[in-house]
Amino acid sequence: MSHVNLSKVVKRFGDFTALHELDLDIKEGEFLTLLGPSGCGKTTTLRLIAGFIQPTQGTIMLGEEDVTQVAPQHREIGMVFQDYALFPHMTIAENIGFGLKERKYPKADIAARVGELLDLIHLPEVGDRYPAEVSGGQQQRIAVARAVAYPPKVLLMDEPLGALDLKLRETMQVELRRIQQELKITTVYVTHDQTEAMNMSDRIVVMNTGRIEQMGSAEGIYNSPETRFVADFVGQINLLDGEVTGTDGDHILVRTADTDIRVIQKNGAPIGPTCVGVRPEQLQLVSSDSAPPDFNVLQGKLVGRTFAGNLTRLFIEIGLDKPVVIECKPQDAPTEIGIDLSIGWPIEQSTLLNK
Amino acid sequence: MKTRWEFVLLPSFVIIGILIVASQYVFLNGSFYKDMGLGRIGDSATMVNYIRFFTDSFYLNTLWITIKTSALASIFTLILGFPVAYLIARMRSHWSMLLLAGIVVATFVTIVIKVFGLIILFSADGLINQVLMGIGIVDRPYTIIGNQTGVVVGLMHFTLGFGVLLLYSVIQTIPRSLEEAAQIHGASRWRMHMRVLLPLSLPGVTVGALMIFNMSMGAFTSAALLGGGRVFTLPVLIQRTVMMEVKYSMAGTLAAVLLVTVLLINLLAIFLIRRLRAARLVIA
Repeated sequence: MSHVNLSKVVKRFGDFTALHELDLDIKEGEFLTLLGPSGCGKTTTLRLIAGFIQPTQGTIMLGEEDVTQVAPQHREIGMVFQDYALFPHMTIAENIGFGLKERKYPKADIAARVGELLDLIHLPEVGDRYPAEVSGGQQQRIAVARAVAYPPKVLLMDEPLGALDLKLRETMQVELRRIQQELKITTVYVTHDQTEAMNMSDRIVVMNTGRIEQMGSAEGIYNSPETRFVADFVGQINLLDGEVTGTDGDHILVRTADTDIRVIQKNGAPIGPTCVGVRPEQLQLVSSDSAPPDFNVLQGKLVGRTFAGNLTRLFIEIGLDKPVVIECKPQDAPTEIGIDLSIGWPIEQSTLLNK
Repeated sequence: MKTRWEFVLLPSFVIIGILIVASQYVFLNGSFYKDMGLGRIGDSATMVNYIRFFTDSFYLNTLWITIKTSALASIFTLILGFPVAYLIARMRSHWSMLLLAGIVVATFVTIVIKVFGLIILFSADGLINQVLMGIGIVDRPYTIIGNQTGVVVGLMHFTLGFGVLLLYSVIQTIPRSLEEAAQIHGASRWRMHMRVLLPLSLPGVTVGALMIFNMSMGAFTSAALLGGGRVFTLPVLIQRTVMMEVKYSMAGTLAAVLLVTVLLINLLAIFLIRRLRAARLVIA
């Protein structure tokens, strides 16, 4: 197990630049997730670490070793593939022992290690079966066991839960995290699913168009998104387009939907177009005359509602392109479409998104 | 009145039946009668032609040469075709489709043209002999016309395009991620091929090998042209027996032997694949 460092890594495919000068440091034992939409460069980054492709520029360090030019089989990496890539003509025990056999381990040691790993993934009975004879979730765990059999310096996972149904996916998130923590193995995980990223990761790297948009803990990224892209990609958010008109004490004034709202911003913000992000769960229904003084308040009209079991989403038209979404308890939700409403939120809970 | 849909399909069945089954039946049925000379056949059924085939070393040798050249051609076609098919199957650019289209077109160009091209290349002052003599590997022109090597080359020439296409389709079905999984977990390219790619392509390759073998067993043009009248395979001999000797019954016998031999070899191969599959040496 080692830390991984990518320094000024550029990857071009012909004229297309998949990665622009990427700098990334993955700490020893850390579970790091690369999160982003397809084409953002997350899989390219993973494949660069694996050694399936070479960077156009830059260096990749595994521990203290520069592996930029090292072939995949000499990097001592484990990898779980999106389609698991279990060898269909080998038994599950042979699959798990594959890397050990390639590294010339004695037969008895391989058998012992395979047994250990089958216990780790809670499938002690399946060693003699073939991959086609076990379920998708079991194949997934076997792929993980194969990847960690020869203790790898780093474990790479490329959307490993994509093919599973929702319930199983949730179980497997817990399971993968357990295995990772039990082995204390440095892990790079690629996904486009933000829930998955937030459930499992020590740290999340949000990527877009070949660049890192933001990195940090799940809380950090959800609560303080730095860019419009991150705010929009991670969780649901209302983006209120407006204009910075000035300051009011500690607050910046933003004009949106014909109303002045206040935003805390320590570094100030230039006068001009901007965007304020507010999460649906931060918005509340308020009465316009009794809202607390440290609240921003907007007037609107209820145009729709959807019931999601534990909460109800209200769609409120406030005069912007899209209606604002707010989440409230089902018993508090008004039922009449078309009524006028006031919505408000604490000033400190809105985020100014500059780009 | 209700028109039965099946009747609409009937004519094509009849026509195909006449074209494929009846034409062979007439010929094969003739094999059980004696040749009376000048194309006439006797009127009582007899096994005399078959007895002659299996007692005359010339005929037996022809059968052996046919099997040998076909088997060699199949093996070399697969060995030569695999790397090409692999490369095309794993290419990411548009070149793969272009190369594949090129192979398809080349495959369906009439074999006569291709074989004459081959003959020109291999002629005494042709390109290949010039090169071979230029670097001093041979001191006098080497010919492939009129010997078994030539027939094998001709058969390979005939089947190589099909071989590449067949192998391409087999390799395509093996996910690239399996190769990557083997590599990332410590296998060199060579070990990856040995432990993953070849075992997984084996069933498809075996079926491909059979098809190529069958094509070779029945190939006439390339065998005739490169055999140069000196090497006889069964199809060449059948043509000769019909056209030069006008012995329809004997020709029918040769055709029957060829048909049954091919059938038996295929059945044997299928049986062996089943056994391997049951023993889990190859996957379905």
